Amino acid sequence: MKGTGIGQVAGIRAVTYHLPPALSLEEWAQRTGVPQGALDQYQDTLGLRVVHAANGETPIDRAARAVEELLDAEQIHPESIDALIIYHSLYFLAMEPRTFAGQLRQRIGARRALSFSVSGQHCASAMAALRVARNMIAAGNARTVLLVSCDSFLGSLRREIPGITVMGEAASAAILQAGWETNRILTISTHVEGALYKGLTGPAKDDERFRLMYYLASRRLIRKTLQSLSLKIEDIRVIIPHNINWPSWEGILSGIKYPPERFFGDNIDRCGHVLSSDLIVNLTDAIRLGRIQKGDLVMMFTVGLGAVWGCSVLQH
Amino acid sequence: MHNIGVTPLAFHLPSFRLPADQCPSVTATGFTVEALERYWQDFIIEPELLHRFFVQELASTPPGSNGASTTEMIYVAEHPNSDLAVEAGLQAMVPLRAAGLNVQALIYYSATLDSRAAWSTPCRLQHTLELRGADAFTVAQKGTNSNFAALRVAADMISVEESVENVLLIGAERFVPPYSRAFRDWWICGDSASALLVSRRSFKYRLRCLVIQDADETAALSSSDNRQITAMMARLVQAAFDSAIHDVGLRASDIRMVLPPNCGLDLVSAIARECDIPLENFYLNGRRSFGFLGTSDLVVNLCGAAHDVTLEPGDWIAAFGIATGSAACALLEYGPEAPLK
Repeated sequence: MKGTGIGQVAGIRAVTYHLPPALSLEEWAQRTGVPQGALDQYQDTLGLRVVHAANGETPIDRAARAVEELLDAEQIHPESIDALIIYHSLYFLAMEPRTFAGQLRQRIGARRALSFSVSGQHCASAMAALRVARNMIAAGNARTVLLVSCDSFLGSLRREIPGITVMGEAASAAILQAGWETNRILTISTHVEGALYKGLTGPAKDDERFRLMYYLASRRLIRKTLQSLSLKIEDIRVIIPHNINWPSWEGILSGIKYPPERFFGDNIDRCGHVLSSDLIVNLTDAIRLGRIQKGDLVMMFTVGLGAVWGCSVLQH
Repeated sequence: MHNIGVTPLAFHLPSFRLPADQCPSVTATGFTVEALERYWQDFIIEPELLHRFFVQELASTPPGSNGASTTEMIYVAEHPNSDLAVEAGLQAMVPLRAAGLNVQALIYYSATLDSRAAWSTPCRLQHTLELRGADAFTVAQKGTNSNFAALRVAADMISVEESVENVLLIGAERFVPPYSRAFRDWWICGDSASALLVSRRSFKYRLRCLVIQDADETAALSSSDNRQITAMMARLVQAAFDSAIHDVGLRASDIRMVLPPNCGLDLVSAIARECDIPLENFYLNGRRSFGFLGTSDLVVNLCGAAHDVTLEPGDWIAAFGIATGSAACALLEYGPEAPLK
């Protein structure tokens, strides 16, 4: 497990997201032929309600909409962006020599920006991207970095990770800025279990191993992250989670003895798991709903197939 | 960036080669669902939807010419990128283990999607190379400059994270349909994998400066005028080079050797003219021996130059990269103060 504590150098200045329309799980199940038993499990046991599915909107439109809203709201000129980092869970965003990062750079007019993507950790790629962006700023190679998440199913409604979650589509945008006082990144930690690299397509024994490791690795990484900052779990005002399902979080929260009322789980019901966008969607809403106050310590935590656990602590 | 250096560790080439003029060209109309299913696995979604997506992307790629190859034979892999990367990674670990170096992070770079589409290649490498405790992720969407983008990310990581001393970069490319090996009249891509170490203490070449210059990728893809695009790319390389030598206070004449990508001679010559560096200072053995290998060119040419060219400590090397809509220049200073054993 690796902590990367370079406090004070950068903060998340602003966040936003764009969700395509939602289907109720009943409608999704009806359209895809998912049996009633499985639907009951997703709804009653896992606490899922909806799945977001783009209706003709392209991924680049979705991402551009989130970015343009963010830049407008913050009055940030696109040419002030030094780097544009795309991160995603699924692989089909673009086929080179065309790149999603290059197309979005051009679309939003970020003409000075260096653009590329960070991926390979599925839903935990958000944490790797945050680390890369923070390091660019700390190294003096950028002052303003635009982080954009986007995933697309290309119109497919095959969204199940059987027995675990139903996957939705979204895009999010975040501006990381040098010296910004709000949402200062205090630390970023990750843990990689590379033996599970086959992800969704691995054999049953990988699935079993992942389930066995899930809670243990989560608790360990949270504990290590807190230790690196000399913090206790009660110092964390809010946990911003991935939206995989409710039971996985109930297990983690009881394991770390964290008060459930301080956990921001609203979006597990409201929008479900939107892959790499979960963290920024949830951070955006937690701020909008006043669940985070100035000075609060906020933990963001996610897990990606592959398998990667990612944890960071921000000070709002 | 004074205390960061790079060492090329290994490259892997498939055993099978195909005459350049027999490399099949891939067109949107000729690429079928059956062809997709022959080469790709683990789609997650319906193959028909993935096929439709690939066809749309393929339609936006300018046609290539089989006459663009710099070699008569092209390396062709039978296995996915992920397998090629493991081969290069295993070779790379031999000197790392001998030197007792610990790797704190592994970055996988590539310009081509893996045909085992749902796998995480960086996680696989972390596991297979027994780099327990290392973070592992991919840097991509920079075309054949993804290696330089990964180098940027690794150098930043070492610069600012005290606990990170060594970052292993591994890349792999495999061109199976819908990817077309030929791009404009610049190159025909061979399959390969490569590995290099970015380190705070152990290196062969000091990384003095790295500039990646981005431009409008859309324009670079949409123009049908090869000469115009070649001139534009040469100017983009020159902008990256000028910025890099300005940053470290050098002149073009201070550069002992240039490592260009192994692309067509027209493009290399245009770059030489724009940068005001004599063509004889360009290391061209790589393009003659191996042809264009995309993100592996940097490692292949660093390894080749170390063998073919006598360098003195303090010699300056400019390594260039080109991709659709971007150019890169890494200024390296030869001087193994702490050589990798």
